[in-house]
Amino acid sequence: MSLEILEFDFMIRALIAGALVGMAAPAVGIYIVQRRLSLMGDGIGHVAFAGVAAGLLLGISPILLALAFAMAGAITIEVLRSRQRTESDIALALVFYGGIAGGVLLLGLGDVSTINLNSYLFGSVLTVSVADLWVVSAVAAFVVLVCFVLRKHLFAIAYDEEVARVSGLPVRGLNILVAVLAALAIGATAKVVGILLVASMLILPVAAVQQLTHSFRATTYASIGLGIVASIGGLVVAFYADLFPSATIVLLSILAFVATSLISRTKLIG
Amino acid sequence: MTDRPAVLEMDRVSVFLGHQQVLWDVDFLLYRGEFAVLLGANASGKTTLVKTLLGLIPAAAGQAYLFGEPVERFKHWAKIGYVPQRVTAASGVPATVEEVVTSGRAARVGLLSRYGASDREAVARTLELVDLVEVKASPVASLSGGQQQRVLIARALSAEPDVLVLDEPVASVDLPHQESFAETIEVLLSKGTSILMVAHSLGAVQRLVERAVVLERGRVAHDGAPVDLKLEHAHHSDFGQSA
Repeated sequence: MSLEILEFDFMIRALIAGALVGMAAPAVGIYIVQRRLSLMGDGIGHVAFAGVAAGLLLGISPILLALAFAMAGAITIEVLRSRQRTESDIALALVFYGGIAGGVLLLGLGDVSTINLNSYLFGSVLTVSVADLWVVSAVAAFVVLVCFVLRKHLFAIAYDEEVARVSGLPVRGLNILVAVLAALAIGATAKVVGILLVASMLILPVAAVQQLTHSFRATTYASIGLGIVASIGGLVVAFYADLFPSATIVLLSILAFVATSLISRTKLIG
Repeated sequence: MTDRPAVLEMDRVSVFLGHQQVLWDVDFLLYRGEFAVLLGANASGKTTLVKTLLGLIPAAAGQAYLFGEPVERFKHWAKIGYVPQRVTAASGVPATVEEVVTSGRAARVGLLSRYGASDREAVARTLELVDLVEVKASPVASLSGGQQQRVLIARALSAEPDVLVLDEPVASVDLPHQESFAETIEVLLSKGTSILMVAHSLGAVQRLVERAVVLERGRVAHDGAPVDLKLEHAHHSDFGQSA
């Protein structure tokens, strides 16, 4: 196979961005899956949409505003969730629809081209600029570093929030931190796979590898590995087969999930 | 009854869950080094009492104290070990027995530091105590119900607490392990640990219990020696059936 793919600067930038979000998204996503809040990622993504719309309307970097909106949305979800624990699905729904409706409203105020909008809804990894790459790199490094350093405490809380609270851990603060980290990962990932698919990068690698792993540690590293492989693999396949990159990345992750399901099943039978 | 200081205390506590009152004017004391059991039928308010004591549920009236301090202002959480009532010890993502037990010490290490030799030793001792050494590398979800409950107990013990609060810890523990659970309790009591255990019936720990508090529909119906337990709980003898 020729390395034609590396002859294009935009492709190199896409591969780097893909690898970075492929690493950062599952690093925080594992704590979201652990707490069975998989839909939270979608909620945050919808709020990021409002940020993109605001950015396009105001002529400010959509990715930076998406990050800011996503963080605000994540904190809102977490605060609503901790206040009314029984109705966390309602809290999510409010933020979900508020984000989309707010975004559509903002878009209606200006004259935003649908091409530009589509690139954020469905991803446009091939148009990642050098400036975007700096933002994605900084965000990915921060998310991975914080998740690694605080893994003991984040694991204890994600595993059993009540016990963590009684043990004296700052549960509320660290839950908000995880929500903010998820928002950062989602804001950075939106450029690669688009807002509609963004949460898949946090959830699918974890969901796939956990069918084969026994420990939290192995699940963490394997899901990060799969995130990177799916991103780079998806980009390469999309390049040579002339497919839509974001969809290819996500479908590859789903394929990995199906594969690990089958393997774990044959293990059980055998 | 005793001049030992109280480690857990409730003073005329009333609690509502939603609009429903669950506890009425409950007084409760656990003295240092004591082993007390909280008994009662399903929905009598046992778990609510425990959660209110630990500050997980706010009291509508009255006050809960830990080591003499109002629970809202209590800071020395390392002194408290909590074993919640859980159907399973497993969670969303696979984790090994050792990982879960070690997580009991998370609050003991600083946010930026790592587990050290003393943490590993405490975890090893605890796994030994609850007889989980052989399965320490196994995923929690693969264990039997009784083993999973021992994982929850070990997680609380790994932090070496002064007070242990157990909410129905032996609900799905088989008989041989109930006896070894009683031995674990005995070891802890000999080290001076104070223990409050919520239970449906006493089982193998009966010989160790100093005091029994019986809740009936959110009110204290008995507080004293566990002598009349057989009478009071003749209709709750279905060990292992409790939810």
